[in-house]
Amino acid sequence: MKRYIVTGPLKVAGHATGETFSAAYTEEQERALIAGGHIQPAPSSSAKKEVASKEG
Amino acid sequence: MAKTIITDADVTVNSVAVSQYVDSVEINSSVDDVDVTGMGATAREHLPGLRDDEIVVNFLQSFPELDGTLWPLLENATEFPVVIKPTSGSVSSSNPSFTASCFLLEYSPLSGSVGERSETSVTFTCNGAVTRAIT
Repeated sequence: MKRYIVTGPLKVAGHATGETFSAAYTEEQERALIAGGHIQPAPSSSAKKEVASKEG
Repeated sequence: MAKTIITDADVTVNSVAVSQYVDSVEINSSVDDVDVTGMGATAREHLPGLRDDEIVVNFLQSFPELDGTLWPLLENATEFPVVIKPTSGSVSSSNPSFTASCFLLEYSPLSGSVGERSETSVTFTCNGAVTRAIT
């Protein structure tokens, strides 16, 4: 399972723009969703901490 | 029992909610009719063969939302889920979900005449049978 954030205007897996969710897409499904502008991989929690510490 | 008027069919393609672009939807499930008539028979004999399902959706085209959903599926020969319900409500015996794993083998992103709405009729070829669920 990977975490994604909805980046397009349409709901993905029942989630609206800006919401994050977990899903187990195949590589091709993930590629199609990203190419369509629907989702992006969500930043990992460690990446979030890194950003927060840089900002802090 | 209540009869049904379709006004709120729920369609998701590769987990993207595309219902707002759906003009019409049709789930076609069939089983091959295999003729097993042998010598001496006086009438045709039949047995059910292989299941062959497809889902046909007439979409009102939208760039990039709908086209951005469909084009990568064709381009990458992706196998993806299609889920259809009679209404957007929760799955139940009166609102069953129909799910299939599909391929998009043909797609016309743009068609139409001047002054007409831009539509595209898409046939999702099911890789296996459509499954129906009520929970």
